Amino acid sequence: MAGGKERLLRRRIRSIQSTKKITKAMELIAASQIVKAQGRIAASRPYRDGMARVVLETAVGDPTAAGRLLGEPEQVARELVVVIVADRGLCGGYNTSVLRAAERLLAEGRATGVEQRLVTVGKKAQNYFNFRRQPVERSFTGISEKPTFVDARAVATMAVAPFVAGEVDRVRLVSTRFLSAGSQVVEARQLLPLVDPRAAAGGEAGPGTGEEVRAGYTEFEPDAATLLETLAPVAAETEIFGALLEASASEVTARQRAMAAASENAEELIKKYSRIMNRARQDTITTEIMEIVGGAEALRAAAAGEDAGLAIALEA
Amino acid sequence: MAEEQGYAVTLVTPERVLVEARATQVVLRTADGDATFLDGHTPLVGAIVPGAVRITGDEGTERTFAVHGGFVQVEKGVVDDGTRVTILSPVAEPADEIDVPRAQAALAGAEARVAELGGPAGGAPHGADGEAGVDPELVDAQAAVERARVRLEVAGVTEHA
Repeated sequence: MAGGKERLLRRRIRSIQSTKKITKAMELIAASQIVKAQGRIAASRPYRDGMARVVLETAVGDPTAAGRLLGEPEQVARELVVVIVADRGLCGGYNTSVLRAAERLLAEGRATGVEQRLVTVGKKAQNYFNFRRQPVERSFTGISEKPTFVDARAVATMAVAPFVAGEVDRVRLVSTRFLSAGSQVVEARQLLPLVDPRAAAGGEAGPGTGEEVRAGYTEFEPDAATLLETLAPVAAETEIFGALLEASASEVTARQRAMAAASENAEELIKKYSRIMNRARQDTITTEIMEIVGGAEALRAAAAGEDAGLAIALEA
Repeated sequence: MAEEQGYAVTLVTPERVLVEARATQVVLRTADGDATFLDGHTPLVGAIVPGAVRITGDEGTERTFAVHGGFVQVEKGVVDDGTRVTILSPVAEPADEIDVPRAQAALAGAEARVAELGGPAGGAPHGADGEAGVDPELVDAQAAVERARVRLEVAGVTEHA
């Protein structure tokens, strides 16, 4: 009976140990992926910065060119939402927090009567929205872990074309921003019309940018309005690429953290169960000794009793 | 260090920086035709059409790149008070990295696919009805034809057939 309990605990500990080995391995893999993902973000930085400068230049150079491509949409009757999550789980709250933010956006849209279309990246989003019977226009899977620019293009085609064709008034993006290895935030932001870089820079632009000096100084080829028509989709595509890269870095960071916590937890469980098991084993031994001692005592008493009994029998 | 000659040029793709150097001359193709950028060019933002970009370095060597669209920005006074030319291209590669047989095969394959999908050779039926009903595969195939053509042109191979 008591031995059974010990065996059970031993089996349990062994199972936790092998789980720990797995989580530890996943933690190490994720840790190595973080470095790679950060490298990819860094490699894309010059292009993204360059694109931001071109957009800024165009916006500043000819303020009349903006049209519906830049700034805040006048009214939003239809919008498209791009949601970026992971293909796999085991990364803590990473997927859920993005999906929750997306859900909020959708609820808000339903409340205000905005017709919404949905494009998702990541298997987790596909499963989530399918389960809720929320129609998804297009779902991309298999790219979230290591997004290439070609993948970004594919996503951008789905997200940008409807806007360019005038089918939607706004395109928004829900994804995780990779601020640093220690901090990632879920963010819903406007993709198209392009956020006006002048407004985005806000007061912090300061005089250092020489914005006023440059205005009206730069040539555009073709003219700014036409240029913006080609520029907007490319800038949006760049933004999506950046978002995909940041999402993948956030994903592996979240996974590394989750797996580190899991390994630690496993360690604790092993310690706890080892203690219980040792106590159980000691109890068993103590009980056994008591039984032996008790048995011996009983035997001796019985032996003495038997002698006495025999004497009585003989007397009779 | 900053040389007397030349100005700063960068050619950037989303995945890497192809060129970060000083140059004396940059030739590329915009919608209006070929354009040459020399030191002191006026600030400009322009769209590039697919084609070759030739960069003459300050030591006189010329490097050629196949660029599949993108933008060029000329700024002044950002770096050392000089001119800075930034070329942003979603897809670009150095001429010597182009695999000619592969590009030829890709061209043939892509043309066959365009024909198979029933698209007109060359012209893109974009926004046929404002509806997103354009076959994405066809668009892909046409883009592939275009890319292969630019690659072959830059690599200095005359188009087949």
